[in-house]
Amino acid sequence: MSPKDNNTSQSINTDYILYIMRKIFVLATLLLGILSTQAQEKVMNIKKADGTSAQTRVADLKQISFLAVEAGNQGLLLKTTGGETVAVRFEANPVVTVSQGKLTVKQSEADAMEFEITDIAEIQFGDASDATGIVGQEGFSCVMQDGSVLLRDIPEGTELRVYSLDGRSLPTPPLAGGKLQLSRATLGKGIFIVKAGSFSAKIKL
Amino acid sequence: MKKIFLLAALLGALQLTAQQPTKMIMKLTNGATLRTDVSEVDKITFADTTYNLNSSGFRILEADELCWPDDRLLPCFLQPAPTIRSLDMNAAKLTDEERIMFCTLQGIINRTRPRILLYNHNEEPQSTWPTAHSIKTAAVSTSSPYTLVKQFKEEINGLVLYSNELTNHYSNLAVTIAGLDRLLPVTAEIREKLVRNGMDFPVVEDLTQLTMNSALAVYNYLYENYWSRCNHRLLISERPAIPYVHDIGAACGSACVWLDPRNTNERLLLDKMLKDMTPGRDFVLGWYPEERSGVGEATKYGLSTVPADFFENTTVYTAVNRAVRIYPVPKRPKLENKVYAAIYISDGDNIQYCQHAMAKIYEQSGRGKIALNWTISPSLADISPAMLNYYYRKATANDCFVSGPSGMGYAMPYDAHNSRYNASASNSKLLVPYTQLTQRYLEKAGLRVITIWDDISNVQRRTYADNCPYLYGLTINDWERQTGRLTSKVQSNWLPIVPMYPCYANGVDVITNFFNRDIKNFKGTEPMFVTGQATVWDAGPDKLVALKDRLDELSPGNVNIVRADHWFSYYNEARHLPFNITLLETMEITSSPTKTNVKYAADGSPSEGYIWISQTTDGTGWVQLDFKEPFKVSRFVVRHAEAAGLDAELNNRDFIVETSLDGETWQTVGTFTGNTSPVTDASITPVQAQYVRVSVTKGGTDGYVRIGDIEVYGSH
Repeated sequence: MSPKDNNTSQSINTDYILYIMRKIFVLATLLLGILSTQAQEKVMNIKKADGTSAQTRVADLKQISFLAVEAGNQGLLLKTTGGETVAVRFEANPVVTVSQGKLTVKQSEADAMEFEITDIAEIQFGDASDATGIVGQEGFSCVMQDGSVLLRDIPEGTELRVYSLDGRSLPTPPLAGGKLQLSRATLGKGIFIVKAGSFSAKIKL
Repeated sequence: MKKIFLLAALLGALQLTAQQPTKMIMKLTNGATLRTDVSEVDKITFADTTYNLNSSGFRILEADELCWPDDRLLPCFLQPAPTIRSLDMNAAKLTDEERIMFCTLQGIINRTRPRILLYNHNEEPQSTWPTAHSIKTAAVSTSSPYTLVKQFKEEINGLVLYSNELTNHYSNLAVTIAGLDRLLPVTAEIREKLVRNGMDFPVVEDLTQLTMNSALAVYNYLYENYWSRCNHRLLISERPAIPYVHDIGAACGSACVWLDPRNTNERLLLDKMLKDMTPGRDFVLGWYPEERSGVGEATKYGLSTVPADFFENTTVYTAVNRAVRIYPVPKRPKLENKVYAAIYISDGDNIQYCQHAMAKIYEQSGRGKIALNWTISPSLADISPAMLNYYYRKATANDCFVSGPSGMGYAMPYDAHNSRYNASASNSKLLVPYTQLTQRYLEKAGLRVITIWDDISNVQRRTYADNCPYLYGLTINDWERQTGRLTSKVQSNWLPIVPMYPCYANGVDVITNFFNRDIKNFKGTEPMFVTGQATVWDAGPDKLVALKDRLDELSPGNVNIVRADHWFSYYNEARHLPFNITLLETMEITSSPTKTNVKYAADGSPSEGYIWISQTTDGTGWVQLDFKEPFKVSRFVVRHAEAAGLDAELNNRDFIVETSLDGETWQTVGTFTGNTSPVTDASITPVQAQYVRVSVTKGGTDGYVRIGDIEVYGSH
């Protein structure tokens, strides 16, 4: 709002200076108040094709699930801040749980992958008509399949490590054509940590 | 809710493979469920944001940070605190201006998490609604009400100072600004009281410097300076001295105005705001300087108004997120050559009446002695679902609930008093969003009849028929302002629209006299139908119960006063129109082994507790309905788990619907695979059938088959 009109320029100046001083005082008070109680948190932005977007606090999120029947060719893509992509086909009806700074993608009782939310850059929906994964994705990707996880297009020279949950390093199966299959059949049932370059995820088989 | 509408197929049989968009379902910790079609989403990203914490570690929410799904009337707030502070504003002898401040404080604080409850009305016992919402309160001493402000002062940024000397509309402007910036609207006198109580808040906005002296000037100022910052989903229209919905207005960052559409310039300003709102999603809460001009003005923009001027504690009651519990509907006897009378009780569209006067009237001992149809607002399904549950739980078989005018919120397509259409009579599009919104809330609240005020054109009747398949019928108001009586009509060969004759009658004598104009001609050779509405302020159940004898005197032994859902069922049956034949008491239900009760499959309730659930978990199960005589079946509805508020994953995926004349030879009339919708609503080429069977071959993801409710529409 503006200061009240007055008849003389002298009183306008005085009023105006007082008005500005009061505003500065109020803003400073508010700023100090805000600074003393501020904290940081994550929010999730859903950007729609029509340009609109909706924001949800990660702390408010309990679960994201996908109902997809006969959806066919679509898949869920998680892009990490390291540039890798994790792909899940919709036929598996993935359930994404966001809790305590972790994002878990689960597609059956046994299979799940867990990420630090800070490692996730974005989630996209893409073409998954290729039975082994997401079509048209460049670079390293990771496809959740029934009872196994397939890492593919792994660049040559990438350092690969698989750990058990208690930190023991496990023998890493050999790369075959840039692909690495981690399956329940070879590793057994349990939770494993996979590190491939900057990519890191917890995998439940 | 999405539905699969099926058009008639050759030979009455139907083959459908659902190709529904992939749905992303987000469940939030506050109980909200957000649904998005994946095809609409470009991408999801995560980002850091800063926020303010209160001393309890809760994030202090700003008005533009609310979780407000498109399919909810109001935002999703966190559940109320285990114990919330309450203040009796009457006992504390607060002035109007103090009440304005306390109600605004309530909104700003409850936005983060409901922690304040304010009492004003005393028509119902103070404990009625907190108890109904399972809310525990700790009272603030009425001798020191300002301790309530002190308790939450860390969440207040400062003051907006106003004076009502030039015009009292400044208080509405102050409340609007207060909601946007977490301020308290105060007069100089209240500011002094705050200081005396040890709270010297900074004055962030000083409206006492402004010189506007009319409603128009004040709200123009609001429009020019704050409207762009206000949310446009909810507009508060409230008389300046009445503060009770300021809590929800301030919580949402809504504009609060009191503009009179009878004044041209005020109407033009109101129109600018209404134009920015989205029909089918947004609404006006409060009231107007004059009913018909106000409600009519919003209707012109396809918007409705939820009358609520004295509705209290919206931010608390809407936060108690419960599914509406729809109870089984009593079955009805066979149609006879009798007079069927339906009596409606007025004013249920007004949620402050639902909160206060109705709570008292509902306790009258006359209730339950004759069938009465209580109007109620479908908006309560979001605003206070526990309030609907309170009335539904106490209802007798003679208490039927119907929607107040004219659906989800009060809209007035045609104003009979002023002989004008507010919604163009020939514009088929204007009421489409409103009727679609209405359909969703009728289903949520379990309401099958709408009392329209006052009338609708042929085009508008069709809009209701096209968009509200949940309906059994509509009533219109015959105010006797035209030559001759209004006539009954049937839209799209299924939706009856009948005049209330009398409408808004002030007592038993008027209703008896009007009904007698028809009943005196009753010959007993065919059924006769009469319907009328009583003003609740003049004639509650204790008075209306006299109608039983008064109407019987008109034609001894021939007059049946019935529920509105039964009335429309009889009405359609008598005219050979389709009606829900699962309402017939002769219907027999059999099923595969169930862990619940076989009758739950078609009891009129889709709610949890009344769902048919298979005993086995192999994903299969069937339910068979025997109507004991053939009907021409033209439509069926199957409500799945999600219609009861359960997870969408539990909806039946694959199932068929079959009909039979003898229970041995079956004809498939619908095949569904990959269903994800909560409701399957299918119209088919009419087929003669005595039996209808729903056979599920793939139930929910947990292996159980759940059937919330089955409806079958047939005619003779």
